[in-house]
Amino acid sequence: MSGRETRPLVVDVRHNSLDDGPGVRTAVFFKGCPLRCVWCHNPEAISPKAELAWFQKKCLACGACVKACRHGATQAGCRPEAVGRSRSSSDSGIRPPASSLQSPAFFRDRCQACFACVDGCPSGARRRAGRPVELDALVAEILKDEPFYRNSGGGVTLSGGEPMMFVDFSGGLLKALKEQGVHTIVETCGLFNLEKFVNLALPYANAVYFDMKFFAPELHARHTGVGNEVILKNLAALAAAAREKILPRVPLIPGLTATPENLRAIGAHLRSLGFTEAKLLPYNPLWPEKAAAVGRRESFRHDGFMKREEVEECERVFAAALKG
Amino acid sequence: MDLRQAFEDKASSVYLAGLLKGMAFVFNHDKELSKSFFRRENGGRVPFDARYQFNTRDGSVPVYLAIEGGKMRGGIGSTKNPHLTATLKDTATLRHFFSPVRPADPLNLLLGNELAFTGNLVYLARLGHLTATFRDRKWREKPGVNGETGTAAGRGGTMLGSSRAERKVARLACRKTPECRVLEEPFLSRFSLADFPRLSEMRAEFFGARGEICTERPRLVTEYCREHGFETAPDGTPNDPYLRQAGTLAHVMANKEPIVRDRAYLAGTTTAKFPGVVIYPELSGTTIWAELSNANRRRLNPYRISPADADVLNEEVFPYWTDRNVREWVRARFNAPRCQALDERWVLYFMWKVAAVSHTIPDYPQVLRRGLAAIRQDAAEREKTARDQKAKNFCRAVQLVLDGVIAYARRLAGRAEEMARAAADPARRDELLELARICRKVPEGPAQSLHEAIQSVWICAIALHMENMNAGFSIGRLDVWLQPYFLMDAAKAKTPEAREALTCRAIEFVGSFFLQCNDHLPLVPDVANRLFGGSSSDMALTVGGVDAQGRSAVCDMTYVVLKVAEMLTLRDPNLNARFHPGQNSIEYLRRLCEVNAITGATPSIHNDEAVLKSLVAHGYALEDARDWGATGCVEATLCGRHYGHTNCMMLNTVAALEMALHDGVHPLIGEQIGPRTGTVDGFAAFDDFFAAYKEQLGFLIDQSIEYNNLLGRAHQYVHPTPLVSSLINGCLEKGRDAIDGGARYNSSGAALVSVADVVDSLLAVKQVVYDEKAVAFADLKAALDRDFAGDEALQARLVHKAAKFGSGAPGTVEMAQEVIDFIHARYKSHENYRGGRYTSGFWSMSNHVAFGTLSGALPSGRKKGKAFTPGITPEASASDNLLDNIRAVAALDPEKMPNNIAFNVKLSPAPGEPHDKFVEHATAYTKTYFELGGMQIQFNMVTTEMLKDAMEHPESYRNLMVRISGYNAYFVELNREMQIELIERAEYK
Repeated sequence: MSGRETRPLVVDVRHNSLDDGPGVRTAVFFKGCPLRCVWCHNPEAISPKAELAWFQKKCLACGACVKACRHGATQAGCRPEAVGRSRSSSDSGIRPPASSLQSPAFFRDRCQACFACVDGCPSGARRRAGRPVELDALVAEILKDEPFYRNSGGGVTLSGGEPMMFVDFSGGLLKALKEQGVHTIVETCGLFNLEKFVNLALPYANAVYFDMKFFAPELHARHTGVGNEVILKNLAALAAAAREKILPRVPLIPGLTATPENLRAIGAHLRSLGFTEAKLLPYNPLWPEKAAAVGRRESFRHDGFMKREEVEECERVFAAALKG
Repeated sequence: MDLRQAFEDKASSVYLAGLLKGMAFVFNHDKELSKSFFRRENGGRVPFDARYQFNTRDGSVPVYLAIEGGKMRGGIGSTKNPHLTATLKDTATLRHFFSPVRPADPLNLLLGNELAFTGNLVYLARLGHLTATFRDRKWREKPGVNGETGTAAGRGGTMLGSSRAERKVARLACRKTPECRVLEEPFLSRFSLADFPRLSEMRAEFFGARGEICTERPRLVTEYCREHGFETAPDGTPNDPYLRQAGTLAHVMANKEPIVRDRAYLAGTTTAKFPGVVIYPELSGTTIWAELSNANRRRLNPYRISPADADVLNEEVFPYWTDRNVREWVRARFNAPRCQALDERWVLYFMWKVAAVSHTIPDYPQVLRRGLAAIRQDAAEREKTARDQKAKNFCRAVQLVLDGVIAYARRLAGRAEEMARAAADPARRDELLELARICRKVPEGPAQSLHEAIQSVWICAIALHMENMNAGFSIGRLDVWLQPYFLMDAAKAKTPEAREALTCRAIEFVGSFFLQCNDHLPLVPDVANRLFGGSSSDMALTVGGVDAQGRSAVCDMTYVVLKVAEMLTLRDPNLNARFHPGQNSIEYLRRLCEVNAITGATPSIHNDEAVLKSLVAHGYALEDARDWGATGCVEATLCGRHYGHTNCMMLNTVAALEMALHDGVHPLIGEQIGPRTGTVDGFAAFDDFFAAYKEQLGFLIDQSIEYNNLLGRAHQYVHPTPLVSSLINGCLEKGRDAIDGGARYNSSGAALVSVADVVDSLLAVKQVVYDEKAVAFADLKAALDRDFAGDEALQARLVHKAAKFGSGAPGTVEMAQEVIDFIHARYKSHENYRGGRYTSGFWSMSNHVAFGTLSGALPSGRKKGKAFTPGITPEASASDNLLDNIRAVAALDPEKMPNNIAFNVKLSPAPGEPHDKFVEHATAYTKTYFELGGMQIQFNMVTTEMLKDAMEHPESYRNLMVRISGYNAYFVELNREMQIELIERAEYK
């Protein structure tokens, strides 16, 4: 990454998050990630470009998007399975009329991401994934929640996507928040420009949640699309420079990362770097619908949450390796 | 005319004529049946005469039914001078009404506006009893069928024992806080219910028992009034209402059975049954008339009633009160005013005043400090210098009722002594003798120990409920008032062991008081199960807050009360906690949240600063305002000096919206109700429509207030209340009953229901019709009239794209504030019948469900018949961010909501979330909400999964408590619509 970074998009500013660190937090999800993890649970945040998310379950087949589309990407459809699905249910309990309206057909390759259809869609089935943000406006939006941070020991978590892909911007955000006394956390995949990170982000972050997926480089490359050499180097450098700020985390993906070998290897490596604390993140299966909404094909699938015993077994193996 | 319709009318006439003649034949030849239509008078039985006229709206099939001199006549045509004329929607409804197989519940038809009436409403209930008796005739011979559907234990089932029980294990502990003088660990985390087997048994007994209708009070009240006359004395001179009511209450207290229950720590019971349903025939007790023979069998909240008790009510009690109740007194005296007719369409407003005033808090501290004898002495002194005859009578009346209470206490002492003589267990014998000693001492004299103080309060509470309906009659600041007596006991406890024993005794006394407060149930006719399903007597109890000087009032007894609430998880007393930021400790707030996390639903938490702001703005002196306690649900009463009937009415603000959409016609009623404000196609701008809405709403407010004032006058004649008046400052000084404005502070409080639905609808009309011009107003109205059939896309746009109150979108809070400001100004502009002002509040009991059931589709996208949001709570779809909801409700101006609010938040712990973390989050939300200015917040800390499971397996969730809007209820006792409403509330994790 060199030169001027592109202006980042944000897929979501999630308020009142209790899952991204201590207390009541606001999590900012940046759009764009250098990794391509097959289990990615925020698939709408992979591409750095704005794209249309279409949640077919919510579609009423009212035809508003067909009328709105000027690029021929959304056309009166005829796919029987789409019709069937759209009629079966919707979140609000609203049923489409029994007329012969059909769910539209969507051709993503023709979509210009103008989002005219989003404005026209009454049900919220069509949404915009990725909106540009201005630093000042984003800070103002975040600071609305400041009293809740103060009373709960919460703050702001930068997530994604990969927030450090946009370190000029996200570092600026961290700095602005730090100046307001807001507690901040960065969640990262670890693949970033170390020098920029250390200069622009690290001084303003109270904590860095650093993901470790695989220890073996070939597994990392196979399942995340990228090798882990830079990631390991970055982790080692941070362990030396600011270990107290770093919390390594391992997402537990059944059959992939959640193997005894991998957990042992990561645990041992972390121990060698001097870490005594690290966290396992049990698998979150609630992503396939989001992947479908942005037209991503799944190469990995695992339905359901992990069983408590499975998680405990992982924790046991990992803790043993970490403690040595 | 439609041929088919004509044919149907003809067929209906023939059918109904045959049916009525058949009914009359059976009635006249079945002695058992005709015997049921008698009343007792002067020792003999005389026939009860009743004439009914039935019409359909189009007048096609007039039908009459007359029972005179013990004979029934019926057929096509009309009868002269009917007691009741009912107009039914159509001939099909009329047939349903008289169906010999499954007759419609007349009160249900009434609620759904399928039946409208003129004349005396009691006659409708009377008729309901007759038709039920007709239907049950064939069952009479078979014992068991007419009896209970289950045993007493059938109401029981398993206590909740799943995840929430586990959370109890991990209770938080706390270091001693400066608020506590005695307790070393204020959260009392070392105790659980298992440490108090007697409380545990009392609790199991309560959950295992089914309510039984008690005829003791109505029988005694009727007996006295028959002997001494109601309107006039036997010698023909008019009776003074004060003295008549005082004599009645004294008669009840002198003859009421003194009962000391086996396990109870306090002597005395509200009724002679357990739990007893109390009947007030002079108020709305006659509404149960139709169910006397089948209250056992109804699905929701069934009552036991013995055939002998049913006969007492049917023949002796209810006939006497048919014309002598507040509703019918207004109808007769003011010639069936329009404001009353509107109330009896049920969808516009609901007047609690018909059933009760009650909502107040007596001066218990004075009773504890001085005793009733001292107050009686005051009254005797005042009688000598009374300024007029009325004042003299009032002072006389006070002495009579206080003597009655003292006499009852002595009879309790006598009973305890009798039982002591017979007691085999020496420990129990000593306990009974101690109770006897206490009851000879209090409430007549001052209390000098915690046990004496609680016993004194309990006897007064019993007596007050013999006078005032058990609907919102509240307890007040029990923690603050008991603390001096706790400290008196503590002064004698020198060792840590003695102090531990003292703490246990305090928990036992308060626990027994809590459980004994559940020894009675309010009378709920089946139709009202839809309106207030699951409501208890709503005896609100308040803890915390500040003293008259503004310093923290949280004390040892605060934490004792909280511990009891945590262990017992009872819906009543309805616990309300005052949290004063800056004065009360954060540990106290954390404890309030923890008790919510453990019980799932109590206490409701008030921001003392904001509530005080609202009270001072209403004109109360700050020192007096600081002594406020919650009344009924959440509303503030200044303890012992304020008659504020804080729930005189509940008004459906959506009704005015429907009227504004239909040029003053209410669509369910189908008649011109309000002023003609124009059709929707004529509103050039949004503000024109908004003005029409305000005009309709103002009309309903004015009408409901007019009716409230007439009902107030009815209470002044039918039901003055000298006992409660003797315990409210100002009454003796002025020589006037509280109902005549004797109290120092007077007000009447209204609850405005469905305001969030109105605000969302106004916002949607403004945005979608006027700003975006996405749909013509007339087309939107047409879609509403069709309940969105064929307009799903429009409905979706309204639901998902129109900004709502609680979304954080610009302009949404402002719209809510404008509606609230209008309501507040309108209410405040009126004076009540006692010389006080009206106050407006935003909570709904369960009427958001009942009114919702009766209301049509709304511009907010809400479908016809769906529940409104509870209290002032934003719609679940407004935002998926709880913080948006919190900010919106907190931004509303407390000064415009002096009758308080109910803001419901459903919080569920995430799977595996530790108890302390969950409590920490709840504390943070509450503290921040208060910092932002919010007045009140109440939680349901249960998961949707648990509620769904409880719907399917009610037997496993007997004691699952939930908060509705202002009060608590047991989930399994709620009607289906309310259960669904709770499940659909937004859930935040």
